[in-house]
This record gives sequence, C-alpha cells and structure tokens, in this order.
Amino acid sequence: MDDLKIYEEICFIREFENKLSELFKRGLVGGTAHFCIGQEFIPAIISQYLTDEDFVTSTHRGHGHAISKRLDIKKFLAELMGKSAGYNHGMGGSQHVSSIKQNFIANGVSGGMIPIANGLAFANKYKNSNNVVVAFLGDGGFNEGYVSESLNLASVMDLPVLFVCENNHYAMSTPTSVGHSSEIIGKVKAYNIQCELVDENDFRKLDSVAKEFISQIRKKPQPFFIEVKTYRHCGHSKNDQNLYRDKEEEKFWMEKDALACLEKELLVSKKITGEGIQKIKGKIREKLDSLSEEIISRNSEREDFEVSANIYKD
Amino acid sequence: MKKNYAQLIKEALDESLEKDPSVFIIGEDIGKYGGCFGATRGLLEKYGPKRIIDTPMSEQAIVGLGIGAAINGLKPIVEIMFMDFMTLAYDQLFNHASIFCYLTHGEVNVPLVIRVAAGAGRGYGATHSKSIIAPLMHIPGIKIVAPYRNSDVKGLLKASIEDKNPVIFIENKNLYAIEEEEKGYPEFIPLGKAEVIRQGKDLLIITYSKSVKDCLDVAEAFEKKGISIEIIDLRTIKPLDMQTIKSSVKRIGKVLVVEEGYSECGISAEIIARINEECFYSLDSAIRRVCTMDVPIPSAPDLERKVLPTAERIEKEAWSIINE
Repeated sequence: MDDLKIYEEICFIREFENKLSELFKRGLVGGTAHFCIGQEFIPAIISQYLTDEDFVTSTHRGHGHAISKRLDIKKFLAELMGKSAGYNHGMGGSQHVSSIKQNFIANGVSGGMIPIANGLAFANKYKNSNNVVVAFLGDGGFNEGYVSESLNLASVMDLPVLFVCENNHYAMSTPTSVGHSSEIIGKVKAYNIQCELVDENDFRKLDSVAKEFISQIRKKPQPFFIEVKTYRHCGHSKNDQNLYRDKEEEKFWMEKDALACLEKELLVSKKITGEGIQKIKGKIREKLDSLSEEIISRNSEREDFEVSANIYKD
Repeated sequence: MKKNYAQLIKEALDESLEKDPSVFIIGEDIGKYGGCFGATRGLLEKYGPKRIIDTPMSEQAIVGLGIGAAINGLKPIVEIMFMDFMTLAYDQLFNHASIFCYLTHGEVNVPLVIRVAAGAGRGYGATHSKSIIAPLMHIPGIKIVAPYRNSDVKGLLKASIEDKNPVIFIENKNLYAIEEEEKGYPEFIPLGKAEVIRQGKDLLIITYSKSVKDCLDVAEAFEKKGISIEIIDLRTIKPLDMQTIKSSVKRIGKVLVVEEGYSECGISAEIIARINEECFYSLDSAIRRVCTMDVPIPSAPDLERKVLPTAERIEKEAWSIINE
C-alpha cells in the first residue's frame, strides 16, 4: 500500500466525521449519524484494489465506505445535511446514501444489504464480468438471519463477493461476548467460504489479505470473507455516551488506533514530518470548512419539490 | 388448443427467457421438479442451470439476490413457493426493494418479479393457504398483480417481467389446472387496469383472483332471479384502478367487495375507504365485504369452507345489499 496516500485518506475520513459532529452540535445537521472513527482504515485500504465498476454495499456506519468509493464530498455532505444538492436530494440522509454512478449503495437495516450484494455479484458473474462486490457489515448485523442465508447462498453459488465484517465489538451496546455464541470467523468457515481474521486493527495484514482476495475473485468467481477486529472511538450514534464500555478497553484500543499507529510509522521512517502532518490535516479541515459553509449558505427551501415522485420508475 | 393457467404461465416465462437474455428464474425446486405447481417444468432442460436456478430454502436471501441482480442490470423472476413464506422476505421488500427508486430519485430501479402461489381450499392448513396480499399493498413502491382469467395471465406476466419495478405476481393455486380453449389471448396487458368482466345494473361486485369465479357463479344464480350483477376483476391490485371502480360505482350505487384475504385492514377495506372518499354520494347503501374470516385457516375441508369467502357467503351478503 501507498502509506502516505492511505494515511491521508484515513485523516480525511476522520476529519469528515469530526466536521459532521461539529455541524450536529451547531444544529446544521438533523436526524442521526453513526460515526466510523477508528474504523476508517478498513475502507481506505480495501478501496485501493477496487475500480469504479466494482460495487460497494454499505451500512448505517457508512461514511468511510462512501468517501473511499470516491463519492463527491460536496454532494455527500449536502446529502447528510438534508439539502437538494445531495446525492439523494436529502431524502436518504446519513444511512441511505446511494449513487449508482459510483456503484455505491447503503441502507440502514443491519445486514440487509448482504443478500443484495449477492445479487449484484450474481449479475456480474452472469455477465461474465470480473467486477467485484464488496459488502460491508458489522458484528451486530452478522447476527441477522439473512446474513447466514446469504453466506450459504454465496458459497453454494460461487458468487464473486468479498464480505468485510467490521467487528467493532459492540452491536450498539451489546458486546460480541454476549451476542455471539462463537467466533464469527468460525461460523463463516462452516459455510465453506475462504476467510481471514485481521486482529487489532492490523492494517498491514488487511492490506495483503484484501489485495489477495480481490485478485482471486477477479480470476475466478467465488466468495471471500474478512473479519477485521476493530473499535470505534466514538459512540454508536451521535448521542451515545458509551456507558456500557470499559475505560481500560477504550484505552487499549486507542493505543491500537490505525491512524495514530500509521502516523507513528511514517514519522519514524521519516516519510513525513510533524509539520507535514499539520499541513495535511490543515488542508483537509480547510476544504471541509469551505464545503460546509458553501452548503449552509444555500437556501434550503424546496417548495417546488415533488415528494410523491419516483415511487415507481416509468 | 386447450391450455391451462399453469401452461400459460410457463409460456410467458419461456417467451420472456427466449426474448431477453437478462431474464433468469430463481427459486426453490423450480428446476428438475418444475416448481411446486409445475409452472416451470421443462425450462431447466431448455435454458440450463445458468438461467433456471434451484436454491436452498432461503427466501430472504433469494429475494435479496433478485433485488441485487435487478439493480445490476438483470431481470430476475423469483418464485416463492407459498404466499405464506413471503413473510420471510418482507424486510427485503419493505426496507430495500421498495425504497431505492424513490430515495435515488429514479436513479436506481428494481425490475424484479416475484411469482407466488396463494389461496386456500385444498386443505393445506394454516401455513400453506393464506392470501396475505394486504401487507404488501401497504408498502409504497411495489406493484401487485393477481390475474384470474386464463386470457389475462400470460399478458399480465409478460408485462410484469417488462416492468421496471418490483412486481408481486400472485397465482391462486386453484387456478393452475383450469383449462380452456385458447383464442385471441392478448400477448401483453398493461398493469394497473381493472376490467368489467360482467355487466349488470343492480349490484357491483369488486373482486380479484380466484374469488372472481365464485362471484361469477353467484351472478349466474342471481340472473335467473332477474337480478343483474356487474363484476370488476381488479387484475392489478396495486396501483389500484380507481377510475374503472368509480365509473361502475356511479352507475350502480350498490357495492360488494369480495376477496380471499383477511378482512381486517384488507384490500377490501382499502377499496371501501377509497370509494367513500372519492364517490360517497353515488352510493345507495353501505358497502359490504366478504373476506376470509380473521382466523388461521383450518385444514379440515368442512372447517376450511366455513372461513373462506364461498359462493354461499357472497350470495348472502349480496342479498343483504340488494334488499337494503
């Protein structure tokens, strides 16, 4: 992987989430949002190996997935802010951003996009295309019944799909130790799907596994599964105070933070300087500030918007 | 040449597969077995396992696969063996297939057909007999088609396959074996159009699917007593053809709605509400309905008959309205 590029991307996603949090506090974003702070490296690394033609299906915690799939940041931010300039005219909001032009679809039911990812992959195989589908899910969503059905189906039908389970150890407040009868990776193995565990935010391992699996899918249609054991350094959603988490545990994972670890590596190997880091972060903040102010300054009134249109495609 | 309802379904599938390489069929036991009711028999041999796909029993995953394939350029036809099992796939329909077109302003659409067998009367019991269409009608963004006549089934199925939206295509089990001489059947029937299939002036019955037959029987019996009944076969349940309904209501003024779904919050309830809203002053009396009683459907034939909208129950309600 290009360390510097990945570093910048992780920085960008984190700053994006921070900006969004600030906009919430200022009352400029409504509804809810599920931040991916701490998990940004996963889509940043995986997307290196994807083309525009590859599909990504995303979850409620999908801002990082969308940014890494190269959605236009202004249109994406405008969507989260409920503006007509947004990808879905503000009708989707944080959890339901889709752009078919970028082959990106997110939805807010945990695990719900997994059956659909199979279908996207089925169509690729049917058309003899070697495009890949990457389907993100969480440890919570993994427990939904249709995920089990879909893993079995992907396996028996040899569907060209990469499932990426971002196991942040909590389904909202329920820890995996309570919600899972056994290790996720063991369950996936039982479906005869090739899988790999990436523990403790090991971004180097994720990089090599993702590269290998995606290239194998392109060569021969078949499903793969990566479980990444990670952590969100924030609440489940914007109002969550993390009362159910242990402070020692939070500290442990903060030390494993991919952004901090990669930054340290870059500094030690002198690929970047402290000043360089400040410059990168400053530039990102500047861009996000100017984009959000531009969106805010636009009139949000939409008197002529037809809310009953497009229920059906003509 | 005589053909039955199931053969006409197979013809529609066959011709769609032949015409459009992006059409494929997926479901449980649709290959060698030919589908639980034989509607896909022979298609595996003709089109091969790439396009006629047997799956494990996983309704959610199959419907989801259909949605994804539809988004990615194919035209999936999913077969769900019994309408009772549709409930397993509700999330994929309610929270996924039905919302994408709207939320993306038409950028994403889901040209998916789900064929499903509904209906009681065969003693299959509580989990293999229901006609639970109303919950699906409740959701914006999907279409529902339920043909009765042999002359409609092929044209409506072909139109459903060509439609750009998720379409639930309901086949009543008791219709599959109905055989008639095929003559002049339309090849393509646009969705959303009800039809007055019997004209009359004393009472209007609005109905769909297998119940059309029971209503026709009742109408014949009334004809002998000098009472003429008009019958609307809805054919498409969603979107509902209110224009055809209103035009008959305004002319006749007395209305009975008959369906095999449950009565509480049923399709009949919706139709009655819409008539009240849109042409209340054309009514001469209260609208009544005959539905399946709100109980799980018993298996024993004598008990099953008691809860279904049989000709006897339809006749009784028809008399009440006419005498009002």
